[in-house]
Amino acid sequence: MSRYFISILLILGSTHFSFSQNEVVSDSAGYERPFGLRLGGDIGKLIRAAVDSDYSGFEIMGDYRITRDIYIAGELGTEERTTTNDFLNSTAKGNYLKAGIDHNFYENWFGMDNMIYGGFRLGASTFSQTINAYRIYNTNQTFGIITIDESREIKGLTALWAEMIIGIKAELINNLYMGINVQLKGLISEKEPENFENIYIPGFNRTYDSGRFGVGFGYNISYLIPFYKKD
Amino acid sequence: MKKNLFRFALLSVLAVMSFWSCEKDDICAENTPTTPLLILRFYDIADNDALKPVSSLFAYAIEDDDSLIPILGINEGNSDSLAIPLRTDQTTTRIALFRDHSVDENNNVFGNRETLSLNYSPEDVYVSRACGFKTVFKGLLLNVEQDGDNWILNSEVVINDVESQNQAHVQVFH
Repeated sequence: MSRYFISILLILGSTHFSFSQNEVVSDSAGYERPFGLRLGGDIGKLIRAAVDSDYSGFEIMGDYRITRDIYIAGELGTEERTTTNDFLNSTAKGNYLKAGIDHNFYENWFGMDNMIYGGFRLGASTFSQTINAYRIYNTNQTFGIITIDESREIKGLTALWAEMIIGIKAELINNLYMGINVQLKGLISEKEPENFENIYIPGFNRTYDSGRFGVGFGYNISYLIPFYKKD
Repeated sequence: MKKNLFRFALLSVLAVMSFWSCEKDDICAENTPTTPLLILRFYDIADNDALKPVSSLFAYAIEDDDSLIPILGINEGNSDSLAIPLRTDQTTTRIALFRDHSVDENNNVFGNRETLSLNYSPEDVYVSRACGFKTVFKGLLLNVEQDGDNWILNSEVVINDVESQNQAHVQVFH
């Protein structure tokens, strides 16, 4: 529910900006653009952690503009996620780092500093998984349902993946930005636990039986610390 | 034009996200090999290669207090094979195997009873996120209790590790 609420907020916000752009003369040539370090946090994860008792997590993100359209970007985060179904209850917990490049494809109108961008990340995570409880899958119920709830923690797990990211960042007020993005991830390598598998990888999100792909999304608020202005 | 591009990108992102919200439900497929049943096949003591049905064969699990609980999924009848579950949380399962089995209206059980003790080491093996774990049974040992009126004359464990149920694990001669 929370993700839709934020989406609506963002639509309203971006509509407002689209309108305000109409009143500005397009003259991107000769305009001095702000260069600097933009730092922020993922508010989507914060809200999710507040409403979902099976999740806690936080991500800080940053990007640094190196040319008119290219940014070095990265995210650093921590997540704890409990996955439950009828037969299995497990918790993944760990930290991750993602680093890469964003390319802005949006031609800003005079004085604006919005982004519609595509990018690439390399992500790495170190984490642990705990099997909290499981039920023996038995098609014959003569002896009833057997549940084992001795927890087993497997530490020292790692994963490496690549991501394609698309998103937008809009300047709400001077130097304050709000953004949303989606990420398509492909797992490159992972260290799997013995007699179990990586159900959830912090930063990568849930894994799928069908393949090595994963998805993610982010909502962030960030602040630009301007260093200098350049055309 | 630029306004449209901005909106288009925004809508695409939202569309992808709402699509992603509908996660595939993970259901354990029916044909997934999970906890195996123990398969017994019954052979002729006079001709060890010939299957021989047991008349009105039925099986109960014996509880710790020696009471009998009917094993689910088997039908009383003349049969030369039997599939029984093993206890996943213990190292022993005791089975009461009846030939010429019948039950009267007061739930008294009649027939020639054999008491089988099956000993093994259970191991829980991960299957998948949807199915969780199954139990396999290693190092199976079978003992048929001598009661002076045994219809089981000989038995042999042919597969010691009960990990699947594609083949008979135990051959019983009668």
